[in-house]
Amino acid sequence: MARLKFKTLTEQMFYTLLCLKEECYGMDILDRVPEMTLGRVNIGSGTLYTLLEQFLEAEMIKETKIEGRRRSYILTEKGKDMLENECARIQAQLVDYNRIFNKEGE
Amino acid sequence: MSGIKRRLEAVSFFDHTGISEHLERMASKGWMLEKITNLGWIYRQIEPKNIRFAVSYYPKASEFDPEPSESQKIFHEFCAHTGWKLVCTSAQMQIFYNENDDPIPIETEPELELQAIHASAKKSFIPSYILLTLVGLMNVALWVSNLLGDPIALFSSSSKLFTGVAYLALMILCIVELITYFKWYSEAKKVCGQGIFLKTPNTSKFQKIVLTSILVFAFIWAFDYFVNGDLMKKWVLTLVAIYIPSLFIIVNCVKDTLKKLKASRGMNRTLTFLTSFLVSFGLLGLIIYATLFASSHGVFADKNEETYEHNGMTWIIHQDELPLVVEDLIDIDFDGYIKQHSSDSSLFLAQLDMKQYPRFDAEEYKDIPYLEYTITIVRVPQLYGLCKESILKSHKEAVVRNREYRIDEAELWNANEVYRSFDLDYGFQNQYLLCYGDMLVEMYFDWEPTSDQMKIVSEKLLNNIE
Repeated sequence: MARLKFKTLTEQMFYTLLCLKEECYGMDILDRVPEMTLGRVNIGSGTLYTLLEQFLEAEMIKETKIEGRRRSYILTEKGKDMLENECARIQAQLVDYNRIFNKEGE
Repeated sequence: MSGIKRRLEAVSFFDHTGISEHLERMASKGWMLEKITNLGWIYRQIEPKNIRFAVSYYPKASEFDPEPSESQKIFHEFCAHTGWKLVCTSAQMQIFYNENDDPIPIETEPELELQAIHASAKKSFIPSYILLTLVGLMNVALWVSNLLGDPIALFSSSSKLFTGVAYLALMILCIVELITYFKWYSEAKKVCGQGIFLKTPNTSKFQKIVLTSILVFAFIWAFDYFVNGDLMKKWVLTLVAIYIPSLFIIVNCVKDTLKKLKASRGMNRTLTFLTSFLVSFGLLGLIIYATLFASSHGVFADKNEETYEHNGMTWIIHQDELPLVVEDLIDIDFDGYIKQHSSDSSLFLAQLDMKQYPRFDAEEYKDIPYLEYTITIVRVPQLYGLCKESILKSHKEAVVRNREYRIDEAELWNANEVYRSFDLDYGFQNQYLLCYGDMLVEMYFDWEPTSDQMKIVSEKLLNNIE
């Protein structure tokens, strides 16, 4: 199932990776994502925990600091590529949408 | 507010929505879950309040862990950050509560949640239920083979009936749980990609019905054993009633003690399995030894029972009441008869074995006539045909003889039907199957009975058997 070949990203995967553009404690992602999306997207704590484990395993993020149970992470090059690919995909969708509706509007 | 309540909860491992809703109802009634043990779920009394519960699954956890691992604690801290406080854990199952009215759920990606549930189920629920199904299946197969081979012995034994029903119920319960799970898992897998959480199915009512049925049958069996059983049966029942909970408690104590001593998961698992193996066989051996010891020391013997010595062995002089004795049929003056009566009975059938034979130390032992008969009282008319066929079949299929029952004159015996044993080598034998209204009697005579004796047999049996 592991969508995970990560060919596409869910919204929650996308924002988790986005938060890790800069080094960030895992737990802080739980607050940053709603802030970043003005409350539109929330990530459940269990979901975030699993995502971080899977991203680590896929080497899309790496651990930078371990302070007791607090761990911080940052995107790897592979993670950045993933995020860029996803952005390109979303942008392409937007372009398609605008094109179709502009045509219809004419 | 210091009350403690212990409940046996009939819940499915995977039914996280059902468990959460149940715990929410309990909290609203003033009972907060404190911990889950193998001897029930323990609740603490609180001020009734509406709080949210969530069950999450942590596949890497094990019930043999001395304490949550570091990564599991990180998971708990993540949950605490969003207001989900840990209530307790039970192997992979992690139970949280949240006092916010509308908290962010712990799991917000159905695909990931399903992965965690399935990984946890593969580790505990699925293998243990498959194992239980196989144990149930093996015992049910044994039960069916008894049913086909000797239905009278099966239906006249309340313990055989109870164990058969209990294993059948256990097998059905496990199969239903496994099918329910895989059906739900397959449907949930189809829709989780669309962001849909498929509610878990609730089999609680079904589980309660099955478990209650097992308890009711156990009660009937124990009651029957205590009311109708002899001293030895009561003794065995008492020991079994001590054995099962003792085994359960000892094994749990070992597991919990090893947890407290911080033994590793592997060591705890190995020692707990080893203990359950050794203690189950050890206790069973102790029960057998105690029963044999008690029996050889006359604990189960009738206080008025006399014995005699013959060939270096002690023999009991049974003087049981028999509905028909040799003296009813033959004019004989011999006071060295042993009269033995044994029986087994259930709500369906009763099987009574009667024997009258001379003491082994009697002079001309072999010339003294003896009588042997087995009475089957059929309490459920629908079983009559099955019992009759079983007697006819087992007589024909007896390995050492080449015999079969052939129809004989019933009038002489005042019976509905009579069969007489015919040996293919030696002709008719003095063995009969007499079929009365609700009674089948298989009789073996030491001589060829006369028509007068046949009449006496029918009168005695019909008048003296209730």
